[in-house]
Amino acid sequence: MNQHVPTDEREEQQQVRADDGYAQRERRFRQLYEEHYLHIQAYAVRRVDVRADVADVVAEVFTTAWRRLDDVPPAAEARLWLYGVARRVLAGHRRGKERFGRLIARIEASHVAAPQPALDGPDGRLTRALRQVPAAEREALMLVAWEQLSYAEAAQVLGCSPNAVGIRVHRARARVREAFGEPPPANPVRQTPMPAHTGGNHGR
Amino acid sequence: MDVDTLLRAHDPASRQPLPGPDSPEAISSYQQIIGSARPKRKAARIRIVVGVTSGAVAALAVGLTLSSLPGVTHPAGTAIGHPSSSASQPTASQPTAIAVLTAKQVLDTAATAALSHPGAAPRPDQFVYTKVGDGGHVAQTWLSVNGSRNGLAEAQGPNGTTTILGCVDGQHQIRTPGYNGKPYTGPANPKAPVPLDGPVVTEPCTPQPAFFPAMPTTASAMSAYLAKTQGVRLGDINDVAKVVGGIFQSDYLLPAQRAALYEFLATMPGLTLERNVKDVSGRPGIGVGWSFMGSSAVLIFDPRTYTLLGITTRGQQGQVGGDALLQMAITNQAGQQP
Repeated sequence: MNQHVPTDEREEQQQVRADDGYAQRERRFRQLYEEHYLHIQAYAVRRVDVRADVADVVAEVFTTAWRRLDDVPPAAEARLWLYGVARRVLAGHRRGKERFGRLIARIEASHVAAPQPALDGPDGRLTRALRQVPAAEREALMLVAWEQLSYAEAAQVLGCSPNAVGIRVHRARARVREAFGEPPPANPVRQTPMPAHTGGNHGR
Repeated sequence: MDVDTLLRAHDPASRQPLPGPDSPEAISSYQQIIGSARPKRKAARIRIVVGVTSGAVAALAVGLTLSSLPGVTHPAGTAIGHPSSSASQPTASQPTAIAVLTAKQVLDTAATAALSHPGAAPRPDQFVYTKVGDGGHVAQTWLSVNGSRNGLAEAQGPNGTTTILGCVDGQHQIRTPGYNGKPYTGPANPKAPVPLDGPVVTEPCTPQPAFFPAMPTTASAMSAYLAKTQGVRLGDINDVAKVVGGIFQSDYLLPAQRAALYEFLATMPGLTLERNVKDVSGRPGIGVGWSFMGSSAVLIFDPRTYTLLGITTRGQQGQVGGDALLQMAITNQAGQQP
């Protein structure tokens, strides 16, 4: 029993245990950081307007991961978990940016169609087309096209069903095509092959 | 057209190499993340208690009476006392220097001061005039009270005057980039800014009011309100302070709403008292600060009147930013001086 251990020794034992626990946590976190840093960074680059904000977003995602390390799932699902955190961080980042620099944000909002450092070709149509897509559909499309997630994986990030992801992606693609003046494809449901492991729209 | 292929061809993340986890910035960020959580070792077994008893604290506390600060009454065009550049000049009716010991006391005092201001809700068709400075430039804005009318932003420098579009029935019209009504067709990364002189298009929008009548007037109701309307993470002092700071910066608040926000903020752990600080325009004040991700921010109050002077931020490399809040008023027209 602890009460029979001299106070100094007991505190030293507790300190050793704390150090061991910390070292284990840090090892796991370092692995997570090294494995997923580029993915989360790319996720942020694709979604923030100001490149200088990327580092803040990435740091906040991994700070959350460090604080909630016990909640981070193992292996491949960790990346999906981090994307989910990144999504919430970005939502907060946009909100905070809007509120904290609201005057500037309102001005930026008035210039919504101004050319951003373009993500697309010569006439900026893709940029404008994506802005016309509702946020939930746009995010689903981005997760599939840019993060190259299956519908089931995107569903984990978005907290919805794989079927809902499929519908959102389909609608988003249709809206982009419409913005480019193209008719809907012959097979409107699926434009690109589903990754084999997803089990289609029903996912896992 | 294969939309996914098109997107991948224009992936912003593939335009230039991204720094990896072994880059200096990534390593620095990593160290900051884990550094704050290292288990603290006892430096030595010296048991010297430094502190004062609660009785001593109570004896040091100074009673406050704030009842006659410059106030707010508006018919249109009347300046509002919070915030105001003139508030930093003490008058005979203002309280003299107040001794405070904690960040909470600063905020509680600011709440008391705010309640001493008269104030009434503006009309929906009016504008909230705000004048802010960053130490070098001054910007004026007129924001529609309910977000439905076109506002105005005037800044010194090349940006000049900008219309802030009101949102009516969920839509507004914007002029897209281009020349003489024709769309811009140049390179994706133009070397010079492209004027907003292209075709006018109608876009969906959400009104951005500058006054929120439903905002609570008690601290106890504020947390639920902020969580619901702003999605504030209540356990995250940085998130809370950023959102509250943004509200102070750009929204018109009734005195009771302002007081409730101060009192709500005072309940947050992690705030620190910052003595002898200056806002970005150089006005001295007393501050309530918080740290996040190696950076810090501070709400700065006039040390006599406890009017909010501004918000100053300090980045990881020591870079200073923020705004000094110089004046707020209600006007009938965008562009009208109060």
